[in-house]
Amino acid sequence: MSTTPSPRFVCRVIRLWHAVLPGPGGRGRSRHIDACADCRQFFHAGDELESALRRDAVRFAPLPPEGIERRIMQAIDRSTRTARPARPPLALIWSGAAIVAAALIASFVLYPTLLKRGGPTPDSSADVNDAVAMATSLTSVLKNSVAPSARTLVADNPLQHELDSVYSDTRSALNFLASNFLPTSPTTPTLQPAGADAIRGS
Amino acid sequence: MTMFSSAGSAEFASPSPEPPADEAALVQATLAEDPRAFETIVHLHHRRVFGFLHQFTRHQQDAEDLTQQTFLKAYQSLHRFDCRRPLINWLLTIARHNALNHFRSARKWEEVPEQTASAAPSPARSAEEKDLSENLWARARRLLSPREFEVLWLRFGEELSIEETAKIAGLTQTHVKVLVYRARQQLLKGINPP
Repeated sequence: MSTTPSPRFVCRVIRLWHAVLPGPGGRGRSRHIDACADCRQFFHAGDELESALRRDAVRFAPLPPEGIERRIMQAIDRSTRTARPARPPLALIWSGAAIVAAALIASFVLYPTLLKRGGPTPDSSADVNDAVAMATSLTSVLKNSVAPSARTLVADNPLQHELDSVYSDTRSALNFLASNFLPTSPTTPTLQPAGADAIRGS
Repeated sequence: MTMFSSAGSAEFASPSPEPPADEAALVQATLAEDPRAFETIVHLHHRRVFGFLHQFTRHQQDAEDLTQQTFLKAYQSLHRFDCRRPLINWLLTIARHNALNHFRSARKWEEVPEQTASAAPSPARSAEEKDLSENLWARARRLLSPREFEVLWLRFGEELSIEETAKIAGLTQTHVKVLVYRARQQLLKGINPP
């Protein structure tokens, strides 16, 4: 049994090698191609085939239909006009939550500011009154902006519980302010933010 | 004797893989909402995109619809385009995905019949068949597997490099080389039977 590969096998290896690793290649490969007429013809036919494929790709290229550019641009115009995404209802809930968060932050900022001013003096009573008025208006803003939208969004939602806790926190803060900073007089009314029932009621 | 002429090898020299300088400028202008810039891009590339999709679908209307979708998707995701690559390669990649999605739920794309399904050949049909018999690509479509045909088209129809072909077809470069080699072999055998 001969161990020498048949010429056809060598040719197949050389051709595949040339296809996968083109370039100058080793000395053995070029020597084979120089010596083998079959391989030379194979590579020549391959080159001609490639040229013919390139030529026919141009010669038989299908023409795009008339007005295709205009239709493409119209489709793009249509898509850019209608591409504005609708605002999801969830965004409304989040905006309500953002208002609540802003109110909380404002009350927490307000609280140490008032504490830094020291104890109640006859001169600071006007500031304290202003602060109470601000806090009261904050509560009413909270009630007017968040509560109706939250009610209309969902009948029974987690935001309501959040509002309840915010309300109780705000009330505690205001009561704390009132008891510590307002001048003590028998005529001082108990602080009851307007519309508190409206927030809690529903 | 072979049937090919050796003319045209210089004429069909491979294009440079570098994108033209003004292409990046057109992309930037489109991103800056210049309405004329993308129109120019469409004007420059719609023929090649349509030609590629026509080879894929063999259907004029499908190819037109897919061309439209391709440019629409390109416009919508132009901010993701890497300006260092040639724009046509990116467009062809989008076009290929569009075509594959288009046929995914239907029959395999290689089985889609040609546009004219008449049993009795009309004179026009006969003339068309005669043209097709002279067209190497029509023969290639009959002789090769869809993947071999696609790679061969990208390589010699679109004049892309091995690397670019591999990127668009989602294959390794070695796989592309082997597919091209096999496709050439089969085509030569089919054209010049022993």
